[in-house]
Amino acid sequence: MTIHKNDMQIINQLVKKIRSIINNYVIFFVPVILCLTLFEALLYYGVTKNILYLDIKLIIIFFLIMILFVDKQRNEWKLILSINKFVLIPTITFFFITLNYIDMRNYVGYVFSNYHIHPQNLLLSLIFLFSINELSKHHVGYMQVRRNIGITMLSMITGYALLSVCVNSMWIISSNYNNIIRSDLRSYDTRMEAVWGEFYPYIQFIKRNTTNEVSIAHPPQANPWQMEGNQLISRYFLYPRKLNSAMDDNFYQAINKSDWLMISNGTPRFYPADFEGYPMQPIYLKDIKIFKKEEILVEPISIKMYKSSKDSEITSLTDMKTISINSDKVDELTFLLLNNISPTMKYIEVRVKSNMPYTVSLYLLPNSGLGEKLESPSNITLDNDDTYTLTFDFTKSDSKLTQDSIYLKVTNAKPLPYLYKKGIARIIHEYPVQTKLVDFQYYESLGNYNYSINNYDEAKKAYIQAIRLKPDAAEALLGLYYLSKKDNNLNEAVQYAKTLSAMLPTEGKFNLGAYLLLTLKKGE
Amino acid sequence: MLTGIYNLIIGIVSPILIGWVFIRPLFKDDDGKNLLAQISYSFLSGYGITNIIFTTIIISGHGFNKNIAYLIMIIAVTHFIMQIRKYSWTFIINVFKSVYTFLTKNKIILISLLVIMSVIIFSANWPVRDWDSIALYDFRAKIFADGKRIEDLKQVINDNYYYRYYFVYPYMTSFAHAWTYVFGATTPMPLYAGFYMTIILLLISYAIKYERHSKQKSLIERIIYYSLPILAVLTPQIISHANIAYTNLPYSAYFLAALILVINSDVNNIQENKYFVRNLLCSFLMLSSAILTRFTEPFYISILVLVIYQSIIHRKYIYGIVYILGIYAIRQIWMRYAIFGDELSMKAIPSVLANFNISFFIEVEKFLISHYLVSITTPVFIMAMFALFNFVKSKKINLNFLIFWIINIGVLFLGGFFFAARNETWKDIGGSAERMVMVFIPVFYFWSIYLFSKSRSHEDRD
Repeated sequence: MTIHKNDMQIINQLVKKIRSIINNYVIFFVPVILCLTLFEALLYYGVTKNILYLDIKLIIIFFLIMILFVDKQRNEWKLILSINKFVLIPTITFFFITLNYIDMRNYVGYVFSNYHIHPQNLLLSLIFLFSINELSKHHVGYMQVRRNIGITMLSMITGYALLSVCVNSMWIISSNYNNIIRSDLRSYDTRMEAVWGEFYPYIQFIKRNTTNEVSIAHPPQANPWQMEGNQLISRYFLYPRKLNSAMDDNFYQAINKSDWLMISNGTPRFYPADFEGYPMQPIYLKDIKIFKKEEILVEPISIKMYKSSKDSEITSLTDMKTISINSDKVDELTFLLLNNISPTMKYIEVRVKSNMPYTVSLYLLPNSGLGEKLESPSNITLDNDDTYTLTFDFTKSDSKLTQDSIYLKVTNAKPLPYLYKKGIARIIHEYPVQTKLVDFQYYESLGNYNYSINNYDEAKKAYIQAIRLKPDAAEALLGLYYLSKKDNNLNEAVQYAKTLSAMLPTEGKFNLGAYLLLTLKKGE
Repeated sequence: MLTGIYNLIIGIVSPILIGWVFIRPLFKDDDGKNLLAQISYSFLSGYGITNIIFTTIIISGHGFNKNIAYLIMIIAVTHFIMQIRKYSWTFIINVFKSVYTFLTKNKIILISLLVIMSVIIFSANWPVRDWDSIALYDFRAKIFADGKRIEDLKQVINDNYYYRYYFVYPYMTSFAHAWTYVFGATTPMPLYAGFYMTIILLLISYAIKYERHSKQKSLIERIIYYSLPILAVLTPQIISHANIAYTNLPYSAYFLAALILVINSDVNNIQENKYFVRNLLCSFLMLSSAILTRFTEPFYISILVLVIYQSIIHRKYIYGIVYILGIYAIRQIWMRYAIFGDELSMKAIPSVLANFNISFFIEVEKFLISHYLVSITTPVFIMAMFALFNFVKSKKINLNFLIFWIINIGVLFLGGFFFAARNETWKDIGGSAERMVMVFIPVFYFWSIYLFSKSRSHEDRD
């Protein structure tokens, strides 16, 4: 293609016109774009794109390319540059450093939640202002650009990518410095705890309480024990202790090889898909060491009684104090909630606040002190984070109300993982002769011990003895369930599972008895 | 504060001193000219050489010996003191001066300093914390630092499945961790910051080199040259890998260095020709270290093909053959030791080909493309733009570039297909496929710099 002299003149005129337009009007874009970048920090990242349908980074890049052509000798431009140098850059740098330091000192997102500013996004304004100053030192002619149109395009692409990664990486920088500066993350232990959560102090607890040459049985690597069950992770902390994964099918083989057993309710992060405390099988233990000694705290809030589903009568409890049990020894406390309940009541709902709801149950006792005692038959429902409702439903029950009083019972005599959450215990391989007064727990333990050495007949005898002494002995019921399942006596197994499901409270969505029933159904 | 500085000295400075013993005689000719690249090669070969020494010791049936570590350190420090005596103070001051003038001239590089500082400070203080790194790499390092071997673990592990796990990856990063523990550092994390720095220095040093060669010294050209290395170091995946103790970043650094050293031989054909053998030797060290960092990934094939191509151009066939045989020997030695030759072995190829199904092939490739591209869309796009620019300017495709990518794309897609054909659960590998291509992020930017320099020099000749 040849260019005529006429065309050349037209092009030159056009170039001159564009040049004068740029020289006259580019200056006005400086405050506009600065405001846009500040909006990104003050409102949210991407606000320009939502309003103008144009990416802020693209606008900046176009503008910076324009600056190369501007006649820098003009007075307006000199004014802009000096304002930029002496006012804008120092001010925004000051805010950038201060706000980011505050963010890093506390936590990433602190400044935003308090002052509604994203301090990381101020980087965009800063880069913009610095680039204006830097690029003003250079001048590029139009003919140069026309010759190097490819390079100009490439520089715009890399510049755009650069702006994007700069803004993104600011977040990583913030979190990096935040981890270092924060005062609560000074030591190795606190840093590891920040990453591994409760698992880290738990594994350190195991390390402290066991010697180097022991072997430890741990749960399988499945939900909710992704941490405790991961032998490779545990070995890093517990080496040179031996680790045995004790799963369902080889549970007792692994137990016989081990000295200690992890007791664990898993990692709460993985709740409540299928919550199971560990160990689930009966086992006899001693030296139980609890990871975090927690007091059981129960606070009754209110009682609601219904004559029918619509009608209601509310009695609030104001004078009740918090009940607490230390989990060092087995204990059971009973409190009178309300005297003389009217026999016409159909439902009774008691709301309690507790850190371990499965330790709480309700029961009714006739005022005469004789007759049937009725323990809360229905499940516990979760109202809030720590508030639960316990209900009596007489419409489904055979029992009838007479002149009764309602009691709240709090006990820590429940299966291990339910109560202790996390801990470690020594496995007893030889059962010691007890000279103490014989109680149901003795028979439960005897049953567990016989079960663990595959002496099933003796185990059954012991469990039945335990149930005679205490009809709701949970471990005995669980043991009998396993025994009847082993003998393929499914009807009996269903009975035990039903008793367990009625007796044990529901943790989240999980109820051990209901779970066992379900596994039986699946097995059939 | 002081422990942090000590950690940095052990993790970053000590391997540089060790590598300096090896790199210094090789790069004697171009004294202060390519100092940045020399420092990066020293760092890489420092860990590379210690890795090869300790791997040999372990494979030959002995335990990790602390005295050997002390001996290596003494040699390195003595060599450094002997070398530094030759230079006057003015030389050292001049080095700092030139760095200062370079930074003030190219302020664009200052953007990345904030990130680099954050990575270094973080690494000097933070412990090893991530899942695989504590389960495998750091655990093995603690065993080594105790003077034991991995075989000794058999006494405490009953399950063979768990025992085999400790041989899945070569010992490279474990030795590096053990090295820092032997000298009393509280955390080995600085070595990952070191690998991160290496990538930056390599890319910047080549940007400087190519920019010097260019005859047109325009502003825009300079911006392009220096923004590409910054893009590489600001990529979030790379920064996050600099903060965790995984093997991806060391592998990436070794792979990049091996590639650069092979390619670099034909930047200025006449001048660099005499350095071809030297570069090949260094590249061999880098590639073997890469293989001893992550064994299963077959990207090394692309470098081998490039070595063949380059040795044909330079008419030094025998060196190319020795290079390939050396890599083959290293792979065989490790395979014999760790016994997992049946993974992705050649034996499976006939059975996969016999059951070839085109619709399954397409399904797998679609899945792979979508997962490979997740983390590398920007660098791929940028490299493609530079390749297009290079093609438009020079009217031909750069052969090095073509060979490298044909082999690697083949490896990525055919390898992925072979894996999928043999494993029914192949859809689970999406995440690891995303991590696997992370190796290429610095490589994309290197190719962009390289192609840009090629198209510029071509323009200069017109």
